[in-house]
Amino acid sequence: MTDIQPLLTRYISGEATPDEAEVIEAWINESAQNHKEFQCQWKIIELTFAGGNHQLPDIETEWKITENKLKKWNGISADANAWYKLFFYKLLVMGVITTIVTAIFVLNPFDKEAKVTEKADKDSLLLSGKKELSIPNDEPVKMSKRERNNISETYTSLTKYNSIVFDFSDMPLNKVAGSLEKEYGVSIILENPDAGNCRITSRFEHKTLTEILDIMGFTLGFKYKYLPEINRILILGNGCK
Amino acid sequence: MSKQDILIKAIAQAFHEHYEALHRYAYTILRENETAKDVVQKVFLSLLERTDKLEIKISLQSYLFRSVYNHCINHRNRTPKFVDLDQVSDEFSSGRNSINQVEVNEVQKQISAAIEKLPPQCKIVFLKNREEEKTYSQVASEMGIAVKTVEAQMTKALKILRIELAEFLSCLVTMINLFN
Repeated sequence: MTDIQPLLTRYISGEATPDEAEVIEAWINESAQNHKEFQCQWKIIELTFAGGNHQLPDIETEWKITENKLKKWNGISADANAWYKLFFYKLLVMGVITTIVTAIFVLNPFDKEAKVTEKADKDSLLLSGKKELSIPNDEPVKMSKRERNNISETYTSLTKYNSIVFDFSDMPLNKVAGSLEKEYGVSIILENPDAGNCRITSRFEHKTLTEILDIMGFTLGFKYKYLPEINRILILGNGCK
Repeated sequence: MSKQDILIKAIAQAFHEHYEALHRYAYTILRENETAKDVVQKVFLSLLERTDKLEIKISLQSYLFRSVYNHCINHRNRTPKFVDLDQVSDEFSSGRNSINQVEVNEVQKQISAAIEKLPPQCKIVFLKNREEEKTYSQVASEMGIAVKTVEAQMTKALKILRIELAEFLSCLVTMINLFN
């Protein structure tokens, strides 16, 4: 009792650490005498405290409330786990699809919307696909760095995806060319003026100019050349195959 | 029986075993029955919440006591202290205490007389801690004495009060035990 008293005082005054509280609880449970002594001292503290008395709630009722919350939480937790897993798998699948699509776009050897490489020696522009666009007479043209940059920028605009949607319905090629000129800032010339009467019905959504020309060229049977130094596209052939 | 069911069963066992001690401990710190109840409940709820990541390296009892202590301190630091007047009023009007008003007055008289018998410093320390609800360190800093001195004065005060109120307390405790 003598040794426990300071600890007991600390405990009932609300100053005990968790370890000290454990010691006191063990001491209380040691004997009925200790239990009674604790109650006496506890009462002194309670009676001198203005805030009220300690009232132990009904343990069984409290357990029922806690148990319900535990079960509810457990249910929510299980649901959350399931949703989390579903979300994770969805993310995984989307990631795989994105990777595949990106790989197709980046690595596709037949990609017509190609990267531009500049041949320093020839000052010509190459498409990484099947098509080579070069100056018509194939002769090297001396150009300043600024001019080369301009060509590069122009060509980039040709291969840049445009947000506009073209909806051509039975429209002659020369009118189609006019629309494309306006949108892509490039001049389009038909080598054979008769080809301008070829009619096109097609819808192009968010395509590059080269993609549009390729599709139309395949459909109408024409070929085209890009003349970078004058920023012009020359459509070759009679068209209307 | 699923893993979660087993856990809930284990928690039930711990709950019944430790609830009284934990609630009492929480009450000593908070001096509010309802808050003490909430704190203990939170501790048991967090037990299930953390089962996957919790590694208890001490005994469960130690873990529970520490957890209650931390919750209480957090609560005390977060919440400004106020007296719920409605609750106090209800308690008085409903006569929730087992002793009636006449007896309460008698008890108060006895306690006041016993407190008056305390040595001066002991009395100041005791009243600051009990009536003004100040912690040992607050009392120590206010009076310019060591916390250990406050502790010693509190122990002394309790010893004196215990002797002075021996007869009355014995009756009271017996009565409480009978009611329980």
